[in-house]
Amino acid sequence: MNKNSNLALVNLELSRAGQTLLLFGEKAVFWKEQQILILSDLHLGKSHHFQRNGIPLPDGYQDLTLSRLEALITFTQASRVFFLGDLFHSKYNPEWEYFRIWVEQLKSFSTGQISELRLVKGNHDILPESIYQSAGLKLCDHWTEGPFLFLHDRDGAVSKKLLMDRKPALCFSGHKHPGVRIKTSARESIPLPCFHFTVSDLILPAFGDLTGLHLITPNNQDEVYAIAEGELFLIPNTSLSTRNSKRFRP
Amino acid sequence: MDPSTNGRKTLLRWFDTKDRRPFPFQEQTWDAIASGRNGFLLAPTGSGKTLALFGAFLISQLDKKGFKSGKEDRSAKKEPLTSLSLIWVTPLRALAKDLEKNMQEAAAELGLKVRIERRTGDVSASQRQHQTKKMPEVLITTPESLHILFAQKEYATHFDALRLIVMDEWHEFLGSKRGTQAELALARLRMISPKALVWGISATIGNVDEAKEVLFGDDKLASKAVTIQATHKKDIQLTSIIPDKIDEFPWHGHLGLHLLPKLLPHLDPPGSVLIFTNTRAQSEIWFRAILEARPELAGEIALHHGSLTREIRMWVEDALRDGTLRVVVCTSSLDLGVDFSPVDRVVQIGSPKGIARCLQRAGRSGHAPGQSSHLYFLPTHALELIEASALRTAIQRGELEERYAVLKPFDVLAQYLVTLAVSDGFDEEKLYQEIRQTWAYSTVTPREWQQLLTFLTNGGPSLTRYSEYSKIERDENGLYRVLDRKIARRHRLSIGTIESDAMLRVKFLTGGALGSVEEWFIARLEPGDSFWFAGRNLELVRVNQNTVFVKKTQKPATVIPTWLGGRMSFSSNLSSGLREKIRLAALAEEGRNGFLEEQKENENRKDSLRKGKNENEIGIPIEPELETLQPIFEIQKRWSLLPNEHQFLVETSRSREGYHTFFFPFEGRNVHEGLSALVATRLAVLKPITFTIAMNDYGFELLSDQEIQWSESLLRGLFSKEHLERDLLKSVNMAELAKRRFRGISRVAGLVFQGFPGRSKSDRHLQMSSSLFYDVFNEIEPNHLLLKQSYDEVIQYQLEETRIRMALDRIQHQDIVIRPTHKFSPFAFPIFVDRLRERVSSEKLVDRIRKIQSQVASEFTKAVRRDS
Repeated sequence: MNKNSNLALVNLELSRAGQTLLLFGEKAVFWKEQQILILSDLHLGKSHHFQRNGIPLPDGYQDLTLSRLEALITFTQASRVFFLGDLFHSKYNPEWEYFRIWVEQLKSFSTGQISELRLVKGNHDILPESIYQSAGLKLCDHWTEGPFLFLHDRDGAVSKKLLMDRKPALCFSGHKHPGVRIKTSARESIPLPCFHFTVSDLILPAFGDLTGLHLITPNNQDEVYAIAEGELFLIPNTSLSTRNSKRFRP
Repeated sequence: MDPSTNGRKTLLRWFDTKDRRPFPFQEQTWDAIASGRNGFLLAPTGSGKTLALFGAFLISQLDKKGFKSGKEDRSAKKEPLTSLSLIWVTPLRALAKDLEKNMQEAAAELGLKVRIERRTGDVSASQRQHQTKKMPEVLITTPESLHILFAQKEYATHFDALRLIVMDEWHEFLGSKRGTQAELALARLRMISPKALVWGISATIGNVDEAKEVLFGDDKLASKAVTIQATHKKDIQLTSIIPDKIDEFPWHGHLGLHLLPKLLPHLDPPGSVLIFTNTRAQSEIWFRAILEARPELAGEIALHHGSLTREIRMWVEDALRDGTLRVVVCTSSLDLGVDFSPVDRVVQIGSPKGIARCLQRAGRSGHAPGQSSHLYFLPTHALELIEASALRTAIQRGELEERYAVLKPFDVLAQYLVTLAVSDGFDEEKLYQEIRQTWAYSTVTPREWQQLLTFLTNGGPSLTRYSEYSKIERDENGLYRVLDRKIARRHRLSIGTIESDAMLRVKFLTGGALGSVEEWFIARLEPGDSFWFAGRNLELVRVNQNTVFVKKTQKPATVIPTWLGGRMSFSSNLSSGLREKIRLAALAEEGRNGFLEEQKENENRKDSLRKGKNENEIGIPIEPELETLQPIFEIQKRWSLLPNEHQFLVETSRSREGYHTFFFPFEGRNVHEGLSALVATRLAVLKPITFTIAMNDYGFELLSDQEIQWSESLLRGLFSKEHLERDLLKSVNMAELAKRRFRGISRVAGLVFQGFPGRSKSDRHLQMSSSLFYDVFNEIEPNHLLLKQSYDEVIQYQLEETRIRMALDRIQHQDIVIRPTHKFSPFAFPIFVDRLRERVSSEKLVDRIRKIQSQVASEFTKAVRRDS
């Protein structure tokens, strides 16, 4: 979790289904042709949700998350932003208002650059629809555009059916907070967030600053881009720690 | 007070019916309690310590009964609503059930109608509710359960009639946060019922006076309390199982299976045997190996360790008691409590790492007065034979380890304040005075107290801007309370200090539980795989929620679960014993005669210490262990050096892996962990360098790809005592260690909330990992009370700063001898092969990943080339 004072904004250009995708070390993807910035799992409002329940989770991280987003929007000149779910952590709390004001200011400063903010709903997005709409967000459960499908959790029952029916060239999703352990020596490894490409999927790392990792076990044909200090690393399977084993979630 | 009350006479008659006489220490205890004194009873497990204190309760009940049934008294006062008169606190839930059974039997035989009940985590909710309505006369409980009781409204009324509080196995409480919880509970109970007597029961440890002081909170109260010693000195014989050919015996290893053939004769009838191992995995492996070598033992041999279900363990204990079982392979699960008739022989596989543990295990054999206990020591590698001889000497000298209580753990205090705020609230000033009466918090400053209150009331300085935090608030009467019912409910569910890893229950498909294994172990297996657990081959069928379903299989198991757990480190006493033995060995190498003389002299000195003890003064032979090790000592001397007490040995060598440097302070693993981090960190300041570090109880190793020009002056600087704490804090793996500590701290302090059955969605939204909290606090509030605690815990309890300081002091007065070696010496080899390595590096993370990437890339090209 480093302060955003000087973002590297290092990116990596990839081509999928004839489209250009820029992966950012800031944990977002930019679809160049359509000028869409794609990110997932911001978990805004988490601090206050914890605080209200008697757990003193410090605040201030929402500002960091949003200023990183702002920098990405400025840098990419994106006209649309897709949030792939878990935008706000839980029930309503005043941190939502800070987000709403941030959106208003973004729109007024960028003078028409931003034409659409879309939320593909995730399991944490439990606010009444009117609240999302008050911040100018468009809502949907999933979204198809060009060769791509956008949804929150690729392993949900509905998602699986969608994937079967539509067979998109690539499905963008979040929810998993993917991470890998990188072996740095025989007995030591460090966990890092990552982009996880399978044959037909791109699972995005969680964008929010107050989020944890879920370690994944990539297949041989998968591509994993780990993120360390804002830089991207294509990680060969051999340098993954065996501690990446699957976990049972009770 | 008249020692011959009717009650006491009745109790003595009951002793008669059992053909027993009370021990003097039991009668002394009854006397002391009758005259209203607090006390501290030093008595080992199985000595009759329960009856010493419970007997006092029985006497008072019998007195009352006699009085009541007497003709004169028909107008007895109405019974008070609360009759709870004895609280018995035990460190282990498992012990509570045995205690309950024993006490109930004794009371029933004496015709007393008293309720004697447990209140622990595994007592049903309805039973607990029944207790809350009306408490039994005797409550056997744990510190956690007491604290949970304190979280209920009007809890204080339960303790109106309290007469006696007993803290059982007090030595087990020392050094753990459960001990701190016990101290807090005791302070509260004493505040509510000042007339209640307080008694502690402890095994003999090195610092009995301090243990007593911790119990009573301050030395004044402690000195007024009587100390009673159960004199039960037992003769302990320690015999090593010695390999026939030391040349063929491995220099490293921890299983010891090589010596299986030499163990088998000891298992032959007649007589029963307990085989202690140091880990659960080791017990499973040995159990299997013994059965394979001696199939006829089937039915007579069983396994006992902490991951087996309670039912299985109880069955084993019972079967051992009634003689159905003759051989039991076990872990520390049979160290404590459990009262079963003694076995004939005890085998210890691998070093017990401490004198007290060794004694406790040896004590499992030959309980009868006058009988000696016999312990066979089976080394898992050659050097462990030195440990055996060091242990024997320590036992002969009556040396014992000291146990230190935890000082000022703020996580426990934070939890306690919320506990009180959940029930009836607390007054700031009164509570401050109360907690200062405990030993653990006697030094809490008003500033620290305020910091803690701020943390609980408004989250601390990191929550300033537009905080929504609330946990405890002040009500109109000025009392601190938890007003939010959800917060209160969650707190009640998470009271406790024991950290548990995610464990999955192992069950047969047909029903019937076997025990539990750690989640990560099962995660490596696929359905259909077979594994060895609870002494049988099992096939994994499926995993459902928290349960692993298995069935019996004939397929040979390929894996045996290992349970993560801290590796035990040498105690300070054993370390110095070890150094002494090596010094003797060094002397022996200088001349066998000198060795003999030295040993004799040593024994004589010992004799003079053991005043008045009858001792064999002639012909003390050279210990067989050291004799056996002679060839290995010779190799050590030929290849390097066998250091005497004035020499600090440093060995350097080179291998394909790089440049190795071995240091031999002989201080135990924990101290070496700290020392190696210190040396590596100080060296990394001098030049950019990367190390991997390995260690064992004898020494530690730094491995690097660069050669280091060691010199005495460089080493003197690296082993300097100056700025010790500062450098330790800076050491590179400090963050990792502190993070690990913080995991427990954040749970105890209520930052991290563990789920529980039936949790709601909003509860799930409250889960966050402790390492994220650690990062956040580190960034925003580096002076956070709980962060500081995690550093302190690492320095004090894990790295043992005091011992590091002493070790550095010793090294400063020694000659530093640097020996380049061509091969790894017998001392160095076991460290070299240790797989648990830590890395210290001052290189940037990004650079390190790049390095790995390029390494992998070159390996890849190499592989391709080889293919073509």
